[in-house]
Amino acid sequence: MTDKNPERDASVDRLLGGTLKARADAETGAACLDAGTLAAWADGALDARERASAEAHAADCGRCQALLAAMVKTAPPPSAAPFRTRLLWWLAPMVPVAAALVIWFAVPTRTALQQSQSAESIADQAAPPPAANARAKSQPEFQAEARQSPPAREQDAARSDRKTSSAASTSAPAEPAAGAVAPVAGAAPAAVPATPAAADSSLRREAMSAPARLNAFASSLDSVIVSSNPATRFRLLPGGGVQRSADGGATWRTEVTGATETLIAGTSPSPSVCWLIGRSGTVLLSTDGRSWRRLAFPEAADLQSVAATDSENATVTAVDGRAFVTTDGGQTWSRVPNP
Amino acid sequence: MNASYAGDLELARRCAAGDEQAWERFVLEYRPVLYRAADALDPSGGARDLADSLYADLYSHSLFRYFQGRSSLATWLRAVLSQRYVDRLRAHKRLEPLPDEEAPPRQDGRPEAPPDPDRPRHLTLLRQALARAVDRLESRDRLRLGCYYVQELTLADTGRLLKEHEATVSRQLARTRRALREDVERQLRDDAGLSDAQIAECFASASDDAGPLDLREMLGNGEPRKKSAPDRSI
Repeated sequence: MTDKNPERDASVDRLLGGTLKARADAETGAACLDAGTLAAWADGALDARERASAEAHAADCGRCQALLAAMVKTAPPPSAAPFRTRLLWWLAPMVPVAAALVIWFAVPTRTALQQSQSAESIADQAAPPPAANARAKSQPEFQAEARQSPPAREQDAARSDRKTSSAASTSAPAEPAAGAVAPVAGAAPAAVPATPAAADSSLRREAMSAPARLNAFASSLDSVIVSSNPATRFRLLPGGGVQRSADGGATWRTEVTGATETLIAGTSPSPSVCWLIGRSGTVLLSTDGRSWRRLAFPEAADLQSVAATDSENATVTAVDGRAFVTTDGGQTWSRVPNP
Repeated sequence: MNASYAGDLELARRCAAGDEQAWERFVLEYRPVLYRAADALDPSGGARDLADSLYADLYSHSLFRYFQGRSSLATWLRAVLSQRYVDRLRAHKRLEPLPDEEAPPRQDGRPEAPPDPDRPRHLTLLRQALARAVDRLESRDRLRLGCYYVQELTLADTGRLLKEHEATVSRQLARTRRALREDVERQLRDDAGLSDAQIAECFASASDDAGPLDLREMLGNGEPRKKSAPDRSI
């Protein structure tokens, strides 16, 4: 009987996802956690009674579990400083001793120096290659992993890989300037998807050519460019059109840009300044929020994103990844060298 | 109100009151927080519009008045954004067509093994017993399982949520799985009156290599159709 337990545990494991999902999909009837409670939970600011009550609700509520998972996803990475502090505080009293030892050994005899050098060369030969070092786990990590049951360990390894890749892809782009609008969806760095459906979608996205990605984005485009003052917004229309709102999106006025190419993205670093980019090297600039000027761009490439700090300084990125910068309001452009 | 967040609460109150300086400070410090959170939720940029709309709502509809200072302002913003993101996902999910349930043909060319006539009944018994066993768990254990199996969080993230070390999460998951299995075995033996051999067949029917489930057989087996979600009383 005992030797059948792992197989039976695996059967339980296989059915658990469906059983728990059915519970989570059903309506609980109780009120879900509000944003204040959710945030207080994440900050560890709930008292024991509130915490128990929130956990009891979330245990049976799919929406709240998804909210908690989203909160974990959006949490800033934990700081490493406290760990280093904990690790190193006990070394402080040893600093003078270490200094004395360094001075003592800093005047070596020739023989001692030679011995030291040969010991280092042996150590170099014995040391694993850098890649192997990078993969090596710290002792606490290893112990934590060793305690996991095999299925949990395998699943978690896959999840960690997914997360690492995802984190790498999200941390790569720089923080957008105020007023920046979302870049092209298809141009975002590839992230390892969390679900089979997402995997499928991700694969399809990767398989698309750059123009197809641009088309897909353009057809789904409904983004509004919010200026640094949110009362002022710009809305992109098909065929190179733009609308402007001065009352936070309550009313819109269509403006003449002179462009016929599809506009893809834009940024408005201040209410009077807006940069727009689109297909075939289309770059438009407004410095009064009303009239638009088409700028000469060095390439007829399809453009995917723009970042600007004012009416003079902007960086435009093409679908193929090339970036161009101007510091004189688009009169001249220079290519940003690839990193 | 938590005293640690008094500064954040004051900033929110000033923003709600239309203080331009406070708004400028908010834009400078918290707009990047919103964008970072949006990108973490959807690395392809699909949540940026939600961040923009939240930002706009904060400006125009004085959403700030809902911030009570129970957490930091940054965490509260993440929570509001998460709510909007999850609700949109769930709304889209409800509109998605159901996937085709038809089982794919075998790739190895071998003929399909004849289906086990008892398998649907065994699976039903096992599922019902498992649902009852899950009902009997402590809410914290159910939450841990939900985070791990349904939300697919890592052990470390599950631990962060529950304020447990990831090794503790791993041990607790293993303990809970074991408790569930023992409860299921007991129910099948004592309540359903199955023999050890029949219990073994029940578990085997849910094993990975038992083949796809034939839903028509399950539904046509004379078993009354059960609610998908079991009774939640604990």
